[in-house]
Amino acid sequence: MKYNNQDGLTLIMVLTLLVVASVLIGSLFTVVRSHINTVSREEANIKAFYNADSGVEFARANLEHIKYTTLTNTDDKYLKFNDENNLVFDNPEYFFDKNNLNLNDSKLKFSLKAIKKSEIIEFTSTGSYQSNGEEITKHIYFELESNRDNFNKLFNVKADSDDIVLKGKASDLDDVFLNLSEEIYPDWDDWQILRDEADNWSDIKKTGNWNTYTGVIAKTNWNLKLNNKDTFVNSIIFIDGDLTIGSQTEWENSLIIINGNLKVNGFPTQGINNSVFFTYNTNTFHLAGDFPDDIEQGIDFNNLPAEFNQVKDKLLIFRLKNWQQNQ
Amino acid sequence: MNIYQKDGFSLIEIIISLTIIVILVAGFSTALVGSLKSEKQLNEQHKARRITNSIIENLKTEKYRTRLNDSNIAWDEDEYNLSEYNINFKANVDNNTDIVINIEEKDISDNLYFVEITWKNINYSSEILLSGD
Repeated sequence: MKYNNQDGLTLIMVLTLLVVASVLIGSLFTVVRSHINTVSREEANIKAFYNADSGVEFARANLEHIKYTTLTNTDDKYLKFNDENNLVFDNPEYFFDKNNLNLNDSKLKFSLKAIKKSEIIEFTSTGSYQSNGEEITKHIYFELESNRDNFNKLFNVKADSDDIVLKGKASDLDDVFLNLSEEIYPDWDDWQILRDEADNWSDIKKTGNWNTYTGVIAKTNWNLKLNNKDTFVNSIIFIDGDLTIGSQTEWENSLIIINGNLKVNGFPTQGINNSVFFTYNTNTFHLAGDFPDDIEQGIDFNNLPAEFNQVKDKLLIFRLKNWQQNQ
Repeated sequence: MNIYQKDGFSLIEIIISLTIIVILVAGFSTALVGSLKSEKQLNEQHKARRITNSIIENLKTEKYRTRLNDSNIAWDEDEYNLSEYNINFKANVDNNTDIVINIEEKDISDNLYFVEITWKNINYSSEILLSGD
């Protein structure tokens, strides 16, 4: 090309400049668009994570309200509100969201999957978040550990296990009784609260020789001798004295609190199903008869009357452990 | 068109070129300004998210968790390197507030709270459930 060339190159230069400018602006667009996508994705990931974390917090807040009895050690099940608004485990996957959590315009959404493994329950909280039509999910794994076998929340109250003398065949009950009593040692104030609460309870009304008490909350201020075939279901009985029961007295899902001696004339052959005896302030534990091998220990607090909640909350211990985030 | 021709079309070419350039520069500059604005917003959102996450993690500490149902709960400005922002719980919001923390107790549990953190000057908010102690 000559320096004194008079040919018109303007159009070529303009077109060249346009191409260069287009490439630069295009690059900027691409970078910005990529940045927007990255930030948007990052936001969705974090919100999905906090939705999963909300599931952990939800479980934490409801530990004592969850009905664990529907959980098995063979299948994963999902926590859900049932028709009675109780928290139970079931299939298929159930999502907690603004509808069942009573939240307006919230994007919170999580599910809680669990399986029972021996003394722990393994939970996976899955948080979901919608971003640009795409569902982002994050998982948090955690374990729930209880100091009760089978999460049945059993406990026993007594001052000091050394004060108890087991006589005769009652010695067969030694291990069971001590295992129960080692679970929790509530202080004297807790016991007094329970006793004060019980002052408002009505007395047990015995109407015949074969009574079935269902959903009874009662207290007697003296020794109580039950009929041989009395049956207690979903009940709390406080005996401010000695309790004598017969071999066929049935207990199902009940608390029996004794501020004295428990005397059993033949240990219940009908079984103590999901029930616990509390003995307190006792020096002697009398038993006679055979002690069944298949005695079930524990109690389902979810089916007990609400009056016991005040005391229950002080005595139960749950721990969340092994929190970890999974992709 | 022969681009090596010596006919006098330079003026027309320049005028047309200038017109095209003006239109394109106007379009490009608008795009450029828009992109830079987007970048600025993204940076603000990124910062807001980082600060919000920090606030959430602080709320999960015992110091705040035990007071989630306290109507007089207040943010401790001197802690957690967040002092450059005016952070207030909803009951104490004023004109200088940058970040509002709203706590609602949920009746589906004894001890569950819905927490929403909203930035007043940036379009960003985050929500989470927290349990008290």
